[in-house]
Amino acid sequence: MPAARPARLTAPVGDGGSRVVRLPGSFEHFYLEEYPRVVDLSYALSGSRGGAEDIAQEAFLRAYRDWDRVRSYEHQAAWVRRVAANLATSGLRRKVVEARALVRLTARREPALDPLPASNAEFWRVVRALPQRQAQAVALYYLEDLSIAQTAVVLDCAEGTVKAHLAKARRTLARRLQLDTGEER
Amino acid sequence: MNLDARARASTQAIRRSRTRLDPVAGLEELLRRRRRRPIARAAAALATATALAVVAWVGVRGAERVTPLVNPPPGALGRVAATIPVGTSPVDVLVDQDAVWVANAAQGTLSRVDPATNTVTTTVQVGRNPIRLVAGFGSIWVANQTEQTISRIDARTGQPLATIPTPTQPANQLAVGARSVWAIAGSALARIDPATNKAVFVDADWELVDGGLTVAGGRVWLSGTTPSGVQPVVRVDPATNGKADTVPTGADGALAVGGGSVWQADSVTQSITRLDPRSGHTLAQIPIGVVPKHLTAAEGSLWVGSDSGRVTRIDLATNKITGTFQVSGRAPAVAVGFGSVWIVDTAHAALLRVQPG
Repeated sequence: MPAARPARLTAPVGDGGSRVVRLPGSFEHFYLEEYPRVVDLSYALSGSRGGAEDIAQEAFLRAYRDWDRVRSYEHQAAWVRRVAANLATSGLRRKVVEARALVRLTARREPALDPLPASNAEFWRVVRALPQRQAQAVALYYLEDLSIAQTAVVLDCAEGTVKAHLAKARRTLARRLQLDTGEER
Repeated sequence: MNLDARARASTQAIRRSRTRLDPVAGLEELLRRRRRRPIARAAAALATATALAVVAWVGVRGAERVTPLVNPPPGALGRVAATIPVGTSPVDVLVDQDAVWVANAAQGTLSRVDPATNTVTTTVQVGRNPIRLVAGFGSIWVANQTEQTISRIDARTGQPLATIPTPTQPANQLAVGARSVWAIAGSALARIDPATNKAVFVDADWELVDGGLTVAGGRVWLSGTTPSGVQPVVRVDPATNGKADTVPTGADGALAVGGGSVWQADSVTQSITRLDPRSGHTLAQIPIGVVPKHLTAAEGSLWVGSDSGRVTRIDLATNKITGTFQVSGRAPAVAVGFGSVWIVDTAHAALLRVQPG
């Protein structure tokens, strides 16, 4: 994970000014460490430039609201990724988050993410067409560079289940993208 | 370009795309949403509902269901003779000459259970996240995954004797054989000399993760999955510390030795593969219907702890399933000794002593 950048954290107040925000130090550190990667994951799995940041924020908001409990988890980063991955891939919830993003973006700014080159966009589009858990496993494995065990922690399932998802996903991706899997037996 | 190269390029494209991402601004937005007043929330909800209708009109992608594991009813492995509270997160169990030992991951401790009284007589502090145990050379060896160390504990007194670092990667598998203690640390293989407690790391040209480790037929066996999804067994010659050969067993999981064979778990096919210890050839494949996790061979049987919480007993002579036992926790580790089967019940933070029926 990249090192946390020094930050002066402020939040807007009613008069349009801002004030210094006091956050639990551990949450602030956790957020700054993990946020960019969770945005990446959300972008890959949702395909939405505008919605990806919103999905990531929603995941962190849930962590923040329940920080006393989440901070005690051994795998806080896995927890927030699981929430983001589920938000990004589960039909209605993703649409709700995307809709919120649409509302905000109409009055705010352009997305923080650039469009992907066609070849790369096609790859992630085919990933998103996979069954939900396979798509999540592929994104975590490649994008996050997680091991099978780490992916299993994020997805809250057995390592064998992750392997099975990845094996099926790789076969499907190779077929649909007309690529060689590079596997040798 | 193959699939992995395409995936890596597409991953880099995602990373490069966040040219204007500002985490601090994102946090401000997050806090703004958290502090929103009720009227503002209602207005936002209305706007969201409207936008949702627009988004939904564009189309909603369905998600396929994941078929759950079939969990057959428990069989008749035996009856619970004792339930022994241990640490809050027991993960592995080991039977040694005088005692039963349990690794408690969250507490970083090792519990010594006296089989005569079914009570914990000693709790030893080891390293952070102890996940695997093995016995050898009068000691209990503990792989402390998070701390990236291996603890050596005196099996008779429970006193710590040494802490051996695995600096490059956390150790997650242990085995004893060829006058050494062996550990898989990431994709590396560590060989510990019990006379000096020094580890040497075998140069590895394999990239196996999440598999097993054992010593059989004059070779050290490593199993697992490569980054490209292949599942070979690599065999290392202890005389040279170099790779002797690779066996394409097709299975991916834990390894155990018993009944003149090597046994390997296969999580994909939910079966156990029986292998010839010399040639590595597959002798039999035994479907068990659940994802196998832990293997222990003892007293004429192979004992398999599965992710569903089922323990399956397989007769080493006939390859037949002769009993099952269900616990409510996941992936129960199993050990056999003192006339009993000892099963870690992760859901109840207990060690179950089961008398085979």
